[in-house]
Amino acid sequence: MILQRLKLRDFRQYRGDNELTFAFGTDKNVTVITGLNGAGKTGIFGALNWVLYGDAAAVKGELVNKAVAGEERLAKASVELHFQHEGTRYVARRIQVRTPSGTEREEEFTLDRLETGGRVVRIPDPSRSVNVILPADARRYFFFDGERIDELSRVGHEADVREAVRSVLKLKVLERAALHLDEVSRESAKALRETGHLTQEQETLIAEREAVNTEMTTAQERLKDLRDAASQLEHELSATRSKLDQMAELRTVQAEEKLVHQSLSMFEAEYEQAAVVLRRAVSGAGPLVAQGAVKRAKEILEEKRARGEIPAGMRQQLIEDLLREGLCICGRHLDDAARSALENRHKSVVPSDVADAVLAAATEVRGLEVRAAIVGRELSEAVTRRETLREQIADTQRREEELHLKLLSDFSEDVAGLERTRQLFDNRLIDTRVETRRVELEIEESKRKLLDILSKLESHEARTGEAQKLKRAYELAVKTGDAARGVLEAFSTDMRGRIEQSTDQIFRELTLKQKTFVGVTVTPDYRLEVEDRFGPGSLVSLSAGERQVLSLSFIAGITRVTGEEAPLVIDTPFGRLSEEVVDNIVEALPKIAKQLVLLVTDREIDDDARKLLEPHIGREYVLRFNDNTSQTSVEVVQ
Amino acid sequence: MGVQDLLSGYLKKLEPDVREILADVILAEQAVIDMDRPRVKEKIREIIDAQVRRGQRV
Repeated sequence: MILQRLKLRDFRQYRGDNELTFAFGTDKNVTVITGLNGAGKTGIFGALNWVLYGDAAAVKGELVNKAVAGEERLAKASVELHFQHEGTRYVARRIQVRTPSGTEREEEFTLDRLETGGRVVRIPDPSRSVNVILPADARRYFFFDGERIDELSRVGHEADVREAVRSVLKLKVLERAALHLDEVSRESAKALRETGHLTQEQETLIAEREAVNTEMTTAQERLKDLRDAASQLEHELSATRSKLDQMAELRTVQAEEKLVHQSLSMFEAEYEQAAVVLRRAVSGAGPLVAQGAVKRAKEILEEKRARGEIPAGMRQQLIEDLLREGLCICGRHLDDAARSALENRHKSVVPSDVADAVLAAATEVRGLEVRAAIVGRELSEAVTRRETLREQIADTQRREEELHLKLLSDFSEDVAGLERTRQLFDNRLIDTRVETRRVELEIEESKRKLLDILSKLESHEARTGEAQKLKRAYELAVKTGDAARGVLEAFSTDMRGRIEQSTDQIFRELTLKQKTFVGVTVTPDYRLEVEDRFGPGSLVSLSAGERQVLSLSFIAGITRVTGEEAPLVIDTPFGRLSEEVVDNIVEALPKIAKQLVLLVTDREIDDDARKLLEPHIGREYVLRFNDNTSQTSVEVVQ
Repeated sequence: MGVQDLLSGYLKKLEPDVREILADVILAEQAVIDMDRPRVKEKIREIIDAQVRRGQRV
């Protein structure tokens, strides 16, 4: 299906006629519809779902325009979609009417085929026909809300995925073919019996064949149920094992909590000790406090020394001895000038006891200076240590709190109970697998019996030409029915493998964790599994955004494998995705999808993404909501 | 290569008469848009009868 035009009349907030044409082509296959919140993007999305499938739930609230409903007694809303499928053009049209009592009901749904030459053929069963073109169970993987598509890759949605894949891959066509061929073969057998051309043995063989066929159908259904049950059990087992692993983690957390608690006690004791050291350092910090006074005293001493008011280092006794002996300090006799200088010096020298006191004071001042430096260093070290310890204590307390919370929130279940549950699931899984194998063997045995019966039937000669024809028709119907089932089985296995490969490749292109994720698996029951570098089973730990990327990859994978002409219509495609992921998607998706319709807010596509998308945009619209009229109009972006 | 081409690959492995019937039946099932179930079965009977006639001529 390729979308061509959508026409709205008095639908939701789109008063009057509004029309959108969708882009489709090799290069320009993207249509971008931009609107602010509440502008009517979801209305467009809902209109597509409603016109094709009558899914009013996709459009919340009334469908008929409220303003029109207020003016007209029997107000109507209509949506018309022109689309193309396998070279043929169709027009789907649905009309909703609002009765005077205020209730709404569907008035009309039609599907017309436009033939060459302008002839229009009305298709008698439009719902069924639309369902064949794009099955309802498959369309939600082509028309989807980007923010909810992650559900596709959630555990428990395998049945939906399986149904969608069956529809998209035409497996249902093969299933129907096998079913109808069986019915035709049964009817042929009945005709053979009625013409009386069957021998007793042939009739017996045919009855046996039908019985075996019935047995086999029952066994195949049972096998499907068993495989589903096994899949469910595997999930539950995996979840229980995961909880048990958490229990193992519990012991680690408890051990860490104990260690943290010990560390905290140690740090607190050390902190107390540091406080004592600090107090001691503070009490001995007099020189540090008096550092200013010491400095001033030293300056005064220096000044006095310079002025000669304090001893300059020559003692009074020494000068007196030199004058008395008439000798210089170097041993020569003093001449008059030298004697006069020495006598002057003697006059300025202070008495010895004063000199001693001054010298002692100078020594004391220098000592105080050295002591102040030591005390300063000790104080600084004590303060630093105490600060470090305070930070360590705060960190340790925080970690202890985190561990307490973890112990309270993550490990509330009983280990023994979980272990019992695990054993129970384990046993059930084993039983289911044993039963599955038994049923598989039953089916193999039924197939063998059928071949045997068919071979016996073939060996019988029909007695008349008519009987021969009937018999041949019967045999061909049986063989073709068997062939249809064989092709179905092999083809679906092959398709699953191809989808898996394609999904894996696309996911790795789109995801940001290209080294972390090593592979995507599509299991036989169409469950998506992701393997990261630590092993399989990482689906449960994917974020919603990652699941969205995985689901998109899966849909794109199916689209690529089938090569079908199907549109991807995505409402709010990038709402919660990172910029880099959006860039990856807008680069990849237009090349994978045949037709892409994006309903976006003004903030979803940034400049970088826009540059990547621009070459593929064939049509672009803006939805303008007028607050004065409460109506939206569709504007074409040139 | 689309689904149809891939499916054709599987059909090629069948016996000629069965292959021809199944290919036609699949086409009939795919073109089921305008056809109800009894008409599909009637169409299948026609396909098989045509094959029987071809076989008799051979």
